[in-house]
Amino acid sequence: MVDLFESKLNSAGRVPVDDPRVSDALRSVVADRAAAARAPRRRRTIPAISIGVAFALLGAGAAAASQWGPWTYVPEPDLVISRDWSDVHGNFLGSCETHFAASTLSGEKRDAARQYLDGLNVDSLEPDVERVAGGLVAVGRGNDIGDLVQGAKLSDFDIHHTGALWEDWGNARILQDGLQTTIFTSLSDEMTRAYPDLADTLAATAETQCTTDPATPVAP
Amino acid sequence: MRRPHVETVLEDVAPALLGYFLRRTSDPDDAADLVGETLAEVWRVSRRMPGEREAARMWVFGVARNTLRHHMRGRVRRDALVSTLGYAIAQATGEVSDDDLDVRNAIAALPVDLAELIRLVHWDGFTLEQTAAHLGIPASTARSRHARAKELLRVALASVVES
Repeated sequence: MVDLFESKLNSAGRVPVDDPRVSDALRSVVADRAAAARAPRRRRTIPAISIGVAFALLGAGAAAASQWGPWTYVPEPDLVISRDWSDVHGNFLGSCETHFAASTLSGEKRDAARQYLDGLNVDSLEPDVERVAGGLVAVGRGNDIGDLVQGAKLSDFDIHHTGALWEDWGNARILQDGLQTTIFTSLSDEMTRAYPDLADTLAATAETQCTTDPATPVAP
Repeated sequence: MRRPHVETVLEDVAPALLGYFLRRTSDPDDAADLVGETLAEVWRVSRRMPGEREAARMWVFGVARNTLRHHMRGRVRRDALVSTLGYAIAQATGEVSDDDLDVRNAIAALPVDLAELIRLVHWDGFTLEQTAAHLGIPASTARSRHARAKELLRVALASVVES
């Protein structure tokens, strides 16, 4: 039973979502976003061709997660991406850190890119699933996708790999690469909206180091 | 099939989603932006949407919560359809009564966690269990906070309720 107090409490939250004009406009936005998702995805291979990637894998015992080796390729990053990775079952996979720089930009555009990256909440971002699937296929473990991304199946993607399998790419590294792709794609969308001339030229440099050491010591 | 499930969930949840943002932003354009951003984000990560309908609805609100948290004015894409939605909301929004304004102000004056809990339960229509899951707190904590928040509001709004 709702008393007068509860009734007043509830009614104070009324908003005009049932207004016919609002409903119509909202339906249009819902349909538009669904249509955008339905459209053939522009294969987001921008990162593959536009990010210069350097990568060092730190083996167990080689370094603690907080003691990375020297950053040779990106000594002055615009963004540092640190993440501990686990699979969907909670098994620790490793820790990675990426130094990311919009290195081909300068002046106002570089400032705009930095401002955008500053505003990103990296912890809330998820790896690009397609990129993760691509990474797994490239290392010959495509069927592991369900262990890294809840509910994902390799058959969801149209991914083929030619040439030798990639070596030394652990699953933490693959997830970090997927996250890096998410960030670059986001940056790319933002920058090309503001500066259309960047559409085919935006590039970035990223350097990643990973360790499979647990982030915190395991009790004996 | 995955896609019809996502479409059905989003068509169903969209009005509640808009209401969620309207109750947490002061500008209809911001609410419209946030709906558009949330829908786009849901599609982007739609493979993770739970299969069960109610769980999927709650998951969408989780995405909405993150979108709201990271919303930065001027950083979002405002296309024509979103602008139209913002305009429609502005046109449809009438004067807020003094009583409603008093209640809203009293809720806003609560500690942040209590205020959000009240909004989720009384405005967005979540159960206490769903609210607890959404906020990532135990259900027992949600229950005790809810009771405390209502107690504070009863005191703050005594004159409003009596009228």
